[in-house]
Amino acid sequence: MNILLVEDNDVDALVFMRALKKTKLANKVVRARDGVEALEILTAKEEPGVLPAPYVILLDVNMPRMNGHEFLAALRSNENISSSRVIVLTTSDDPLDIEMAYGKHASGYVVKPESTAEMSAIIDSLHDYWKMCKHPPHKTQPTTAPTQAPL
Amino acid sequence: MDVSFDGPADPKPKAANAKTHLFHGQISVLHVIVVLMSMGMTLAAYQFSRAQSAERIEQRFETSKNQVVSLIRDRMANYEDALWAGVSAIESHDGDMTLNQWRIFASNLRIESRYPGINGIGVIHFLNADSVGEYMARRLSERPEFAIFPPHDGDIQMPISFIEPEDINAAAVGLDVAHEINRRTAALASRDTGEARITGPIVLVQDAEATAGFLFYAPFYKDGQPDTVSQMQERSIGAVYAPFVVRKLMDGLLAKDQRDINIAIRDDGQSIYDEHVTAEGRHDPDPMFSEQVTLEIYGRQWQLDLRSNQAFRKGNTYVQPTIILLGGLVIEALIISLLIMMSRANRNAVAYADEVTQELRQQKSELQRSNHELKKFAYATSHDLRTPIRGIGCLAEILKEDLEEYTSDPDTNPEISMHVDLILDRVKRMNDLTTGIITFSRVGEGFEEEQPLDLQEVMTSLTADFGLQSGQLMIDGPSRVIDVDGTSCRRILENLIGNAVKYHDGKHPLQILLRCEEVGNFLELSVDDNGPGIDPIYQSKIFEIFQTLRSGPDVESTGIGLAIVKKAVEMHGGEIRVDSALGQGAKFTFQWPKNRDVPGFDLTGIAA
Repeated sequence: MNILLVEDNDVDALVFMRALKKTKLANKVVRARDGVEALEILTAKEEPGVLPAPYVILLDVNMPRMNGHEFLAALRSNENISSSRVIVLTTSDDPLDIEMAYGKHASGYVVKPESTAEMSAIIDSLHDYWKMCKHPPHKTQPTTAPTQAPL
Repeated sequence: MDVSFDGPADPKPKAANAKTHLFHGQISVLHVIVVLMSMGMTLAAYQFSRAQSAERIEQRFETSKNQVVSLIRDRMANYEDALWAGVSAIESHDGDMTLNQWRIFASNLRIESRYPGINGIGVIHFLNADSVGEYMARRLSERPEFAIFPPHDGDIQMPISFIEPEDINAAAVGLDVAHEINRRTAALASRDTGEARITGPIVLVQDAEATAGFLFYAPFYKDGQPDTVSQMQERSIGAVYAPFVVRKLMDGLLAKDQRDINIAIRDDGQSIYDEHVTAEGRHDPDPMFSEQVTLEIYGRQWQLDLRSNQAFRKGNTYVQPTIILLGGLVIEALIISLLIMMSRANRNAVAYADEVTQELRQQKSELQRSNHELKKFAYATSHDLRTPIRGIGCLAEILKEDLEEYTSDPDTNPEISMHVDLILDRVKRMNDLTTGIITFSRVGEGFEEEQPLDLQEVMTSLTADFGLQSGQLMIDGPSRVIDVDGTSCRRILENLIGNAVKYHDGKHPLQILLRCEEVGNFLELSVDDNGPGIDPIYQSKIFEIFQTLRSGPDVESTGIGLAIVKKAVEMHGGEIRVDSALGQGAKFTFQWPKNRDVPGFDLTGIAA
């Protein structure tokens, strides 16, 4: 399972990477600093190897340029990538944010934990969950894109 | 005036307000009715009083009139008595008195003092050709110059034999009253009826001023009063008579200055007395009342013309009704001006109230806006703070992990590990603070999705959460289910019980009691512990935000918990108080609404 981490905060990204490392899971992680960058990565998948399927997006809400909600809206309106799975991972526990995220069909909403250990636990749980689930078919899936990183 | 702020919904209420102003400013229908009614009452009172006055005045005139008429009658009756006294005197002398005897009689009569208005009293003898000789002989013996005059050719002679007092009546001695028709007719009528009679208007011979007068006769007969006319004619001797000057009679009647009626008398169309002339002091050229009365008097008919005079007018004015009218009108004017003043004051008050309302509304919306902004600010700030705090925390943790090998070496400085732990501790505190602020700013939000709260369940779960022994946290009395905003109520209980646990000093085993009682529309809940208690001097401070009574690392406290509790209680229309003394434990009591209909329960208000 590959991960597109949309996160503007370097420390949060660092914590995530460190927590992921602790889980000993070898996921490919691509990082985008905001919604715009994330969209570019998703739509530029003709360049093989950037973000192979199957992938899941971990999305922060508060970001510069294009925030999480805007990104979700853009994602769902682009039919090539509209079926992407998104887990919102944010500091905000505002009910409004939560409702908006699920309104745009986020598959989950997780408030960022206070420590790397907790983050590792979350990643483990998510990983188990993804393992159970079938992956969405990717319409513009490049022919040259076999599963590069085994789960 | 902040018109733009109120937006498009505003013009409508304003128009309504203007209408209301207009209404309040006017004198209402009720006011008009009041004024008209009191006006009507004033006029009615005036009319009534005027009618009463008129009636009273008329009655007064009637009384005065009757008084005057009866006075005339009484006075004449009085004179008649004097005449009959004369008749009696003569008859007691067998129908024949001498001049001296008459003088004695007349002087005893004391005419001047007892019969004012009478000119004198005298005797007339009725003579015919046979009796005149003897008569003349008797008269001449008394009075040598006596003569009967004036001569006339009638077959009866009626000379005045005596008249007393004689000095003023000297001209009448010897006058034959039969010489003139008025005198003769009345004398004969008197003789033929046996009753007293008066003559029509004549001029007395002794009246130098030649004003109207009359004679008053009372007949006397030989051998007493006869029964038939023929006997009367046959036995008649003469008559006692009294001459009157009407002017004097009336003067004696009733002093003019005590009368409020003026009189004129006519006899057979001829005026014999007249006070209706401008020369009369009290004459009223336009009398308020006047009346003609016919007075049958001793064979004559007197036409009395009675008119009210100036004195009557003076004493019988319409002052009272006029005063009532004027007084009423003055009161009317006062009422109207009072109403105008009231309506003006009312209008001012309404305008002022509107102004104040407008100001208040504006202030309220400004307050709401600023509260809202403050809330947004607190929320956003806390969120924005959280990210770097969490970052620091995570980095410190990473640092700690990475330094693990190094710090486990006994040669290294133990302070490094300790300092990292301190950083982590402070980060946690910072996190608690921001969480507290967010919670505080969110109190009262989203409580539409409320679930009933079973107090017993809360106690059970809190006992577990705080790691208490069973029995340390108990409900004193029956349990209850909270129907309104259970989430907030749970948070409050959690806070209060959490505090009791957190601040417990361990001197006694911790015991916390929860009570719930109904007080009016509210439930009164109290959390009572046996902890160290709170010094009274701090009791007012504990509910303020960021106030904690302990400092340092020994107790985790953000100082927000009780502020959140207070805000939540107040937003539900209740109050919270603490009863405590040092060493006596603390008891927090607050009210919680039984249902949503409780007044003061306003989550959308400016308290938000």
